[in-house]
Amino acid sequence: MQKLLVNVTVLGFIFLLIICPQEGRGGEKDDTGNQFGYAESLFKEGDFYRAITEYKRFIFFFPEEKKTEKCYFRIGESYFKARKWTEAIDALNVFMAKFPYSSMTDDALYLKGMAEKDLKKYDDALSTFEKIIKTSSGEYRNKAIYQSALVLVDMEKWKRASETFSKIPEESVLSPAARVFSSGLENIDNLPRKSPVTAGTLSAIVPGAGHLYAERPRDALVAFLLNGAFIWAAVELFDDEKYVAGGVVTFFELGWYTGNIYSAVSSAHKYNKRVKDEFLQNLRSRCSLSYYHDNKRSSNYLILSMRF
Amino acid sequence: MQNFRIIIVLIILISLSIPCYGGNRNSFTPWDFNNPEPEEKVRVSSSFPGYLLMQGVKIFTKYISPVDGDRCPMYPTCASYSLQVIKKHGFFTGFMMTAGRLIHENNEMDYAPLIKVGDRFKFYDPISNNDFWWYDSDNLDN
Repeated sequence: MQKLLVNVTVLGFIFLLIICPQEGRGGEKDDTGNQFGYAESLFKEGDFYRAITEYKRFIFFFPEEKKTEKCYFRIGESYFKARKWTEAIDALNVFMAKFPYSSMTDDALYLKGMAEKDLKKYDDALSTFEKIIKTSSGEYRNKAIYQSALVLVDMEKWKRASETFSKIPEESVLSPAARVFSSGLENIDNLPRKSPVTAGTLSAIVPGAGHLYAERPRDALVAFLLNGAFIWAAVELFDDEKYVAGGVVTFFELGWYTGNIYSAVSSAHKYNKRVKDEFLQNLRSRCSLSYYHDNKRSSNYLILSMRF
Repeated sequence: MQNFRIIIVLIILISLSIPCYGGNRNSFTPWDFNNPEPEEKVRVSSSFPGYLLMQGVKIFTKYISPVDGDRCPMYPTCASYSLQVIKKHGFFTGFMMTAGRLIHENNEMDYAPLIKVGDRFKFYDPISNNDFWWYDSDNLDN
C-alpha cells in the first residue's frame, strides 16, 4: 500500500511538471487587443511596474502593430507616474527617436520636461519646454511657458520667472494663475530678511545675541549661559594656576564660542529660507497646476486650481 | 530502496525548481516606492583629530548615554549627528557644528518636522538643515 502511495505521489509530481509549462505557454496565444488591453488595465490600476512589462511584451511579440507607438509612450508615462524620473526621460527619448512625427510628441516632451524639473536638471527642463514653445501652439504652448516660469522660480531667478509668466496670453486659462505668480514675485525682494553677517557679528560680541536677532530666544539663552559658564570657569582655573584644567575648559569653550557664531549665522539663513519657502508655497497653493489622466477617455488633462 | 527512490525524486524536483530562482533577485521585485532616492555619498574625514573626536563621541554613546538615558528629542541624535558631521566636514567644522547643534536644538523644535523613530516621534534636523547655505546643494541629504 505504501509503495502504491509513493508511486502515485511521484507520478503526480511528474504530471504537474508536464502540465505547468503548457499552461504557461497558453498566455502567449493572446491576440493584440487582449494583450494591449491587459497592459492598459494594469496602467489604469496604477500598477506601473507590471504595466511596463506588458507594454514591452506587446512590443516584443507584435513589433509591426500600430499600437506599439502608444506602448512606447506608455512605458515613459508609466515611469513618470511611478516617479522614476531618470528612466522616464530615457524611455521618452526612445519614444521620440522612434516616432519623431507622433501626435503624442508634445505630451512626451512635456512629461520629459517635468521629469527633468523634478530631477533639478533645470537647464535641460528649460530647453525641453522651449522645444514645445517653439513647435506647438495654443494651450500646450502656454502650459510649457508656465512650467518654464516655475523652473525659473525653482532656480530663484525671480525677474526672469516673472517675465516668463507675463508671456502667457490673457485668453489662456493659465493667465489668472500666471498673473498671481508674476505680481507675487515682484514682491519677493520685500520679504523680511535677517543678515547672516549681522547675526554672526552680534554673537561674536555677546554670545547668544545673534540668535536673539534671528528670533530664537531660547537658543540665545542657552548660548549665553553655556559660554558665560565656560569662560568664567576658565578664568577661575587660570587664576588658581590650574593650567591643565583651564586649557581643557578653554578647548571646550572654543567649541561653544565658534558653535554659537556658526549657529547664529545658520539661524539667519534658516530664517530667510523659511520666509522665502513659505511665500512661494503660498503662491503655489493659491494657483496649483496638476496633471491628470482620464482613464475612461484615455486623455491627459491639465488642472488649474486657484484659491481666492 | 523505497526511501532511496523518494530521495532521488526529491532531488530531481529541487534541481528542477532551482532555475526559477536563478535570475537576478531584483528583476522580479517591484520598486520600493518608499525609498526611491539613492543614499547620500559623503566625504569621509581621515584626519587624526577627527578620529580622536569621533572616538570620544563613541565612548560617550557606549558608556555614558545608556546610563543617562535616551533624552535627545532630535533625529539624528546629537551624538549620531556629531559622528556624521565630523565624517562629512572634518574635525574643525564638525566640532563647531556639533556645538551649534547642542545650542540650537531648543528653538529648532518649533520648526523641524516630526518623524517617527521606533515608537517615538522626534524632530528631524539632519546635517543638510544646517550646512545648506554653504555646502554643495547637490549633496544634500533628503
